[in-house]
Amino acid sequence: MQGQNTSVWVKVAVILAVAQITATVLIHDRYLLAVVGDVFPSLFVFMVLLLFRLNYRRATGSLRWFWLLNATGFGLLLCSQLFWLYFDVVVRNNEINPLAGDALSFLTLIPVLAALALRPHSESAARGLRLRRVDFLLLMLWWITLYAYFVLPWLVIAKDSPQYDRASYILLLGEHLAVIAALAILSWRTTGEWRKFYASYLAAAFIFAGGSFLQGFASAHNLYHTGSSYDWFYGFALIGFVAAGQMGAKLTPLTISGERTQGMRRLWAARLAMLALISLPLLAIAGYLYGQAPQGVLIFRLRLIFGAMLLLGSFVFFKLHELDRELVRLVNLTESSLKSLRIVQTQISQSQKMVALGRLASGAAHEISNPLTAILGYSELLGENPKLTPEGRECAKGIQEQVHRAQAAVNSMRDLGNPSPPPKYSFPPESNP
Amino acid sequence: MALRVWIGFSIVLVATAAFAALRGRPSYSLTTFGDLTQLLLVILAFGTMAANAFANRGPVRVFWVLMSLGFAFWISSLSMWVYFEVLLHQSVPDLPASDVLVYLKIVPMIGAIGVAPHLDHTRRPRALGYLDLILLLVYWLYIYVFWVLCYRIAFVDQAVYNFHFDVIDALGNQIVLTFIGYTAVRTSGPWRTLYLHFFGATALYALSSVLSNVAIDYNTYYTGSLYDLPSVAGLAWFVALGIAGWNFSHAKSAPSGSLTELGSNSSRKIVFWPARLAMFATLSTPLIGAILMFSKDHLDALHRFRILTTLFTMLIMTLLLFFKQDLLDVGLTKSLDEVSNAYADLGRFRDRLIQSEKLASLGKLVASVARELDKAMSVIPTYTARIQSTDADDQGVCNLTTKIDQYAQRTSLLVQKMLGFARETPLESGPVDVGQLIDSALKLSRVSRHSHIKVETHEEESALAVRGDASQLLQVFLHVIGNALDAMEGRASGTLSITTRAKNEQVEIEFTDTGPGLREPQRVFDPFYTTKPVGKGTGLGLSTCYGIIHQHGGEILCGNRPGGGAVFTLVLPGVGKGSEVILA
Repeated sequence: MQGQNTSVWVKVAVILAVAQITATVLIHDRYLLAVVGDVFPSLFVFMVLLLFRLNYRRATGSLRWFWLLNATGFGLLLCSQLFWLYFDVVVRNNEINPLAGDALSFLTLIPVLAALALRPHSESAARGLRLRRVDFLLLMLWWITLYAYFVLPWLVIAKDSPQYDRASYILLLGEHLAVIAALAILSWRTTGEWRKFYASYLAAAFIFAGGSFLQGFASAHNLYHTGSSYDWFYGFALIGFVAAGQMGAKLTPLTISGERTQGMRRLWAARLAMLALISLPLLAIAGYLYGQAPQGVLIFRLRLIFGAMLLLGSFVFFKLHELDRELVRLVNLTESSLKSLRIVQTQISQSQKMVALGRLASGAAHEISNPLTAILGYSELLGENPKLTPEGRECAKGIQEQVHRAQAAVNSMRDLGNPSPPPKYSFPPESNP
Repeated sequence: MALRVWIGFSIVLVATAAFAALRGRPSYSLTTFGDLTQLLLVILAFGTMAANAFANRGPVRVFWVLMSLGFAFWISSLSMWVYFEVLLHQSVPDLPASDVLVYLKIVPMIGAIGVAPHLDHTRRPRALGYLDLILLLVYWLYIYVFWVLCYRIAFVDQAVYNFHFDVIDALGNQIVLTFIGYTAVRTSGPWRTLYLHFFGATALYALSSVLSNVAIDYNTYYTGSLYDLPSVAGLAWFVALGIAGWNFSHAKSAPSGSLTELGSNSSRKIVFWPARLAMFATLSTPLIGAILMFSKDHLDALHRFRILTTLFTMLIMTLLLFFKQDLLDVGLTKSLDEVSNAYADLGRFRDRLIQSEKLASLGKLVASVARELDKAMSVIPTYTARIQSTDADDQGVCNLTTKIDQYAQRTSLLVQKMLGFARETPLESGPVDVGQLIDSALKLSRVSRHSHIKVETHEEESALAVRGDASQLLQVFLHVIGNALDAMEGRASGTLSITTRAKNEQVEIEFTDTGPGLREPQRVFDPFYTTKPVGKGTGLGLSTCYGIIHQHGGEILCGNRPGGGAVFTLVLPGVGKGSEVILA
């Protein structure tokens, strides 16, 4: 079933890619080409989105988050594609504000990055997720702030199209490189199925990045038009994403030993988030002292930084506050558990005496049964004595009864002693050949 | 005592200063007197507080360290005045450095209050507290640069500078006062007295600061004038605070103990406020920046200076937050490890406890069995007595009943011993005969049943006795002998030799077996150290023995004999001959 599914998804992807290439080769009409060039990527992205959503439904735990974030990313990309589709195909207007489409495609990779930062392959990475969400949120907001800092003012304040194109191009490059680097690290760090998954994801991301740069490069040199052969990469990347998604469907988080290193890694995510926060005032200072941006852009940027610092800072505030509380809670917990340890210790020492008695008793049981046997023997001899009066005989029987009673009691004690014999000693097992 | 002397001295000092101020015109000698008095007072306050810091530990030490740090700031500021006025014979130039130092002193003071030495402290890493303090220090400095110093650098206006400095300095003093007042209200006992001293001194100083600042602005102030009087009195009071702290920490009543109880309920709520304050300070910088950015659309020099200041402060503070986060994370990881270890230990202990409880319930049952046996053994003699009364003439019958009686007696003797052990008796210390103890232990441990094991006992000196609880020592002997027997189980033959010898004031009993020896002699006495599978042994035995022997003031040692086999040596405090000996 699973295997069949796999082949179906990949087959559809390959067919779509081939269809796109064929279409771009065969069709020469600009409008039709644009239709092809917009519809196919939308289809591709939609397919990846569907697949990731499917994975999301099947997954559990932190894997669920991983797929949800990925699906969110591709959902954003789909929105961006539909935006272009709408303007190219329906409105047929080239002079539109590219902001919505560009921003959406920039946003695509942010949830993907967050998903990778989750390190879904490690089971223990999912622990303490609640506070780590703040780190992811910080990192995501940081990327958005970067976008707003570098790209947005050229469109909103200065209306400087070449600056805007250059800035968004560079920032997108940075984002793609971050995804590729993250995937490379992950595939380097893991083994087996997870490595294969990361590697294929990496390959797809690589083609995706390459394609989008080629597109950017071509449009900067006026070589690009929607539906040209530069769009093919979309198809190739799609095959990669579908393959990766297929592989990912079967994956489960691994339990990685060495909690200490895990803890330190978790620390790195938090550190990265904090570094992101530190980078913001640094950026503002550098821009303020050395930047050559016009006054309007400068003011916009400073406002942005202060606003972002306020927002991110309050997240950090919340996080550190929680950490602090957690720490004090844990410290108190340590104290209380030490206290209960002490209580258990006293309990143990109280039961020590009883334990010793139990051991003593099972030893004593043997000791006692010897005289009892002797009494029994003598009383039997006594009973068999023909000279004995009937009353004496009665008495001998009475003695035997008492001995039987005593023996029964001793036996019960010995039987009880047997299931858990007296504590054994710290000698090596091989000492009893 | 010292406090009273000091109070008397201070009154004289203030009176002298008042006299000098009323008599004198502004002159060099008056200036010198005024400056040196203040400087000496501040140095004295610093000295007492530093001494307190050395004399105490824990949070109380931190409290005094921070207080003396505040006074160190103060000393450096005042020495600048002394340097210019006394040594250089000139009026003090406007010195932002000196202003800053006086102004910054409140941060360590607030930090000292934040340490809350009167509370039972949760073990929040101290480095975190220092980091919060540094954050506050940076922030307070930022406020100064942002609101005051900018009128010296970006937009020179001395009047505004002075006015803003006065306001902010007064504000700082108010903040300190508020914190001390709040803390004083929430505490009781000796710490409250201390806080009230602190409050009074600060209030007096704050008053003098406002007075002299206003006087300076109206140009009526000169060093040594009447305006300095509250300041002198306040400083003297600070010295009194240090002395009170010294008395307090040297009081025999051990105040910290009684005080920690008091604070333990509220500690969780209070401990956080310096951290929270630091965070709010950090958060307020971008807010100030944002307000700055949205209030004006053009950037003048003052504006630019302030923006840059804010940006740099943000950078420094976020850097500090980075360290704080790291510290928290590291602390958390460590605590998590500790807690999970503690829980694992607890789990292990509980498992073992369940096991030993099983055995304990067996022990209770044994007590009831013993009673049953006792009853039976007391009935048998009545029967034999009746037989003897009816069949007294038959010799054979008589012999048999006598034997039955004897065995019944022997049995009940054994049972008595068992019952005696079952009784919950506390440690009864008395002289115990070692030889008899060994005999009883050998009997009870069924040595005779192990036909292949030979037992040798050597007494280098007869009738050695030790001081201790007979039943507990018996338990130890039983365990050690049982250990040896177990080690030699399954071997063709074995020898257990027990040697008793007197050594100085102590008695040494050595148990040697010919078994395979101990695998890990150093771990034998660890609780729950056992090499047996779960359910077999609790691993508690030898650790209990260890506990018992140590309770007796003795020692238990173990090791391997060179020729193979284990040696356990018990060393117990001996008893001089002639005293009454309790039999085991």
